[in-house]
Amino acid sequence: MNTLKTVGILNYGAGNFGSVKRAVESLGVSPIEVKEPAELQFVERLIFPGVGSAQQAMSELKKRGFVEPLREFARSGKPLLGICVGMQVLGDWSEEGNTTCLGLLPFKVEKFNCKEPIPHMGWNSISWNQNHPNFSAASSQLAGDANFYFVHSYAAFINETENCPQHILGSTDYGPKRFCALVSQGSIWGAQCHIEKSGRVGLQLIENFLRWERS
Amino acid sequence: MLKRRIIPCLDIRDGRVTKGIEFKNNIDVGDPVLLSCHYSDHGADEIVIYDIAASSENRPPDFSTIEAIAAKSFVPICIGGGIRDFSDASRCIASGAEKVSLNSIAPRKPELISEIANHFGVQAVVLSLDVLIDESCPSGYRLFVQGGRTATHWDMLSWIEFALPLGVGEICVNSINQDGKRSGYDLLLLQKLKAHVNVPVIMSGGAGNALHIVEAFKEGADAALVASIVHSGEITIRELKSRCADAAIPVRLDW
Repeated sequence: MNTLKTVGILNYGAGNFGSVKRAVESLGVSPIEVKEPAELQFVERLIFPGVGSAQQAMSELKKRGFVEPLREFARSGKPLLGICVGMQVLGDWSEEGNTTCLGLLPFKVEKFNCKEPIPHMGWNSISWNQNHPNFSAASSQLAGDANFYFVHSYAAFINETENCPQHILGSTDYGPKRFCALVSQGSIWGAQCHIEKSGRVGLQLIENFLRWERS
Repeated sequence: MLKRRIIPCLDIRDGRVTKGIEFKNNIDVGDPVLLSCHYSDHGADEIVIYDIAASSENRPPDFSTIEAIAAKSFVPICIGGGIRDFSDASRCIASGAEKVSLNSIAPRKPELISEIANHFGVQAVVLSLDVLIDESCPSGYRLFVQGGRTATHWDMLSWIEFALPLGVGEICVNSINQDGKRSGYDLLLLQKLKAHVNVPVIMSGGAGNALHIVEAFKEGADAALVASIVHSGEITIRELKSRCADAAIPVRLDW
């Protein structure tokens, strides 16, 4: 795949760094492993993996001095994609360990409270928000009913009585709950699902992010 | 809607995929990397790899094979066989697996379940059970270890009640009686499990045709492990899923 921009993957000890790296490599892109904040300057586009807890992720980011540099990276308009816990910490707050997150997108993350088995684990479909400015770019070459692989016990829930917030790019239902499966605001993107493990459709979504340019 | 999963299971011995009947008489099926890649490209919702000789040879699973599989298979991967301690589990995950499956080691070292779950999350721990019908057990099933060769003192349900709170994300149950016979899953076993647990149940042992899989899903299985039925090439995962969809079972049909 032909990208002019340097793609970085944040490695702060998250368990799925390797899977994300292999997924990006399978698209013909050689990503840079970003282990220190200073290395962010060499990167034009960043993927931010995550597995485990939001509390643990934020604590690792703090320990490694990434919190402010990541906010600056996002504010500079360079594309940033958070995956799973990497998406959750893009929001304001997580119930998991009462954790203050990066505050780059206006959502909060709470635990599933339903009779269905937790974690929500397996393949589920996404309802796209077709009015979202990044809808066409994000969903390019994807069937509307494509399924993605999810594993999580916490989510950014969508309250049906309120208007659909602008950052919601796609939503998914589990039991009675509806939550943000994909979020995006300008150059900041997030996927609750493990798009690095969602087969060809997941790789396509990663490719769509890597091809995205501000219009 | 959350989909029911069809998971091909690759038993590996001496670097090759193999398949036995009632855990014996193994025949060669193919190369693990090629087969995993094939299944992940053709609708497998996940791939389970069991290094079936590792445990009895007291060695960890073959990490280089896991890495080679993970480099080409972009669906979740679960590794079982030979995981003796936290370090083995960590190396499986570092090599590209999402989950580890604990079988013989779990009754011997139950604290390992918590160690892995506390570090990687409960979703990373699959409790694998080989059970044999045993009328002397309250649940009617006895837990076996060492590839189904050694009986334990555990009744199946007593074991699950003990092990689940330690941090189990899923249960994979294999009927030794049905394994490789292709005469259908043990549905009574499935009913007993579903009545007692609130984690996903992966049903294993005995699928011989699409109807067997449909039956298991109708009885509440969250996932079905398949081996002989797809390794033999007589039916594809797509065909299995089409049959499930015809029976109104939600499955993933796009990939």
